[in-house]
Amino acid sequence: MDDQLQRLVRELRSESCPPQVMDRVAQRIAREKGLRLRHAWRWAVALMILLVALGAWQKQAGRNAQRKAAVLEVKARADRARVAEQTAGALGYIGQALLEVAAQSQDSILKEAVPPLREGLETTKNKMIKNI
Amino acid sequence: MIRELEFQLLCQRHRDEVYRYARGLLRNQADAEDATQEALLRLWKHLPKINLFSTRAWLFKTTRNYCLDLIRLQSRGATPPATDQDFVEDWPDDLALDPSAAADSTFRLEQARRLLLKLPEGLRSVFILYEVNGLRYREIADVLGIPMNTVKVNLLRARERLSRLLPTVKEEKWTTSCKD
Repeated sequence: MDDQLQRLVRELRSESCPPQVMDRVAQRIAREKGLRLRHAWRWAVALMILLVALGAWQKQAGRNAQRKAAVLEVKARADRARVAEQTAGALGYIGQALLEVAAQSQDSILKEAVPPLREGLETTKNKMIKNI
Repeated sequence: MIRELEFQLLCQRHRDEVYRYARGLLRNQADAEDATQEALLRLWKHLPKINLFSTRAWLFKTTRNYCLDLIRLQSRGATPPATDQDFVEDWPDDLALDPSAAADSTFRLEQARRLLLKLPEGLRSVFILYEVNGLRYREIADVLGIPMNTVKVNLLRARERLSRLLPTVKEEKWTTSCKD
């Protein structure tokens, strides 16, 4: 490389970055950091509000669920009592019907089945006596 | 905290190189400052993801991309970038004739910069990265995305062109101003 070119290179090497560039870079970074911090703060507040709202909603939902459960319990108890009553009534009716049927069956056996049976036995006894 | 410290160290180490590169690619000092600022801010943003061993190459690559985008934008805009002829016409004759101004290192730097701007971007990048910033062939190839042999060829061409330009274009100004 010739002398003049070396001088040119030397001149170019002597150049340095102006200090205001670094100042501006520092300012921009600080501003970005501040913005990020502000954004973070906003997000935190929004998250807090959301959590509080969620908590309140859950509490309210729990209370509603308890009230509903109590109402359902009372209703279920009433239903069970009614079913038991109705079942008892139905069973009583069935028992009565069975008793009536039994009484009717006894009458019909005595009136319709016993006399022919007795007659048959008499006839058989007489035939046996005759044969003896 | 560690990130800030790391960033500060990297800035201290590379800011001048990045600025020199940006200044070599762009005509305007304000644009070069913006490019340096943008490259450093991108470094801050991407610092956790960047491999520390390739930070230098990453910085130059980022600076180059930003500068080329800016040049492209400016060429599309109302004020097209000046041609080589414009630079020759812009040559500060009045300053050169003034001995006090000629002795000023700022003036000499401006002259050097103007000479450099006569090279095409590819040659200029290789010359600045190798001669001014002291990168190795492999690093330059990585930054510019070209083979290492092309880097060597481009460097030779850049030196040849500058050597040709130095004595022909305002030879007396350059030598006068350099003799302080």
